[in-house]
Amino acid sequence: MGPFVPDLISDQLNLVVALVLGIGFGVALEQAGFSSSRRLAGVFYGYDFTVLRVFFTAAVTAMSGVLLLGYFGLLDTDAIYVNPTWLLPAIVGALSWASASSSAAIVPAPASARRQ
Amino acid sequence: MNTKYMNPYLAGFFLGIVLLASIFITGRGLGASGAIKSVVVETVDGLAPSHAESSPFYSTYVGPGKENPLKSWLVFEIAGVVIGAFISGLVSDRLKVVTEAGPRVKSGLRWAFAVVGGALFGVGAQFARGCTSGAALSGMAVLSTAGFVTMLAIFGTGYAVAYVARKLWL
Repeated sequence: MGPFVPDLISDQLNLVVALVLGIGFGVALEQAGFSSSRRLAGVFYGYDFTVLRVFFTAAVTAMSGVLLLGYFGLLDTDAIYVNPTWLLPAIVGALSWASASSSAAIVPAPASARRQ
Repeated sequence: MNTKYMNPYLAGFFLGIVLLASIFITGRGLGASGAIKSVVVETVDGLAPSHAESSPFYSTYVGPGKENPLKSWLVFEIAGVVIGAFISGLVSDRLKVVTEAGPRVKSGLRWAFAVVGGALFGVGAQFARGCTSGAALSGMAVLSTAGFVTMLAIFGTGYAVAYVARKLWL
């Protein structure tokens, strides 16, 4: 029954797991084309919707997975981290990011995956 | 646009599986901005340790008895992202140093805006306690209200600012 941290996987091994997951994350982002800033800016100008497609497909896949695993008792949904809601900071923060996304066409994780 | 990229739905599915594996194995979703913050905290601590210890923001991470901020889940994960993206670029023959911009914009202006945009992102990520990966994507995966709110706020504002910044790209 997941999650395996901290019972089966120690905090140290968790760091190695993070590295492996990060590699998967990086491969997925680069294969999707997030290494191209024109592609990232494309969603805001209506010529390239890759960002939206990848984003929401990933969210829906993970969401369905979490719900299914929780339903079948394979994942303890009380033990997973759900980020708390503070509306005003979240909105202010997102306003700031979105300005960044349009002016610089970056989001942090794909930025690490970029060549420029 | 380059047609050698993977089908976006397939890439999204694969990303969703990685995210699901992260939640299933470690109980937390993916993230990114926290790793950058750890690097900043460690740099400030290295350059001005007394300031770091007395400031309310930095002192939660550094000081006597605390572990190195770089020994964190997100830092290792971002290291993995860099490695993974490099491997993917290597395999797909896409390794190149390039500055992309619209047809009428010079590289220097592009880089200047990249710095400004990056700074805005850093500020925003501290307010929102995450970035698009950690707060929005992972937040939506666990059905957190904050995840959906931040997603809508990002794309809503992004469209608004994009109109203003269109000369950079079109």
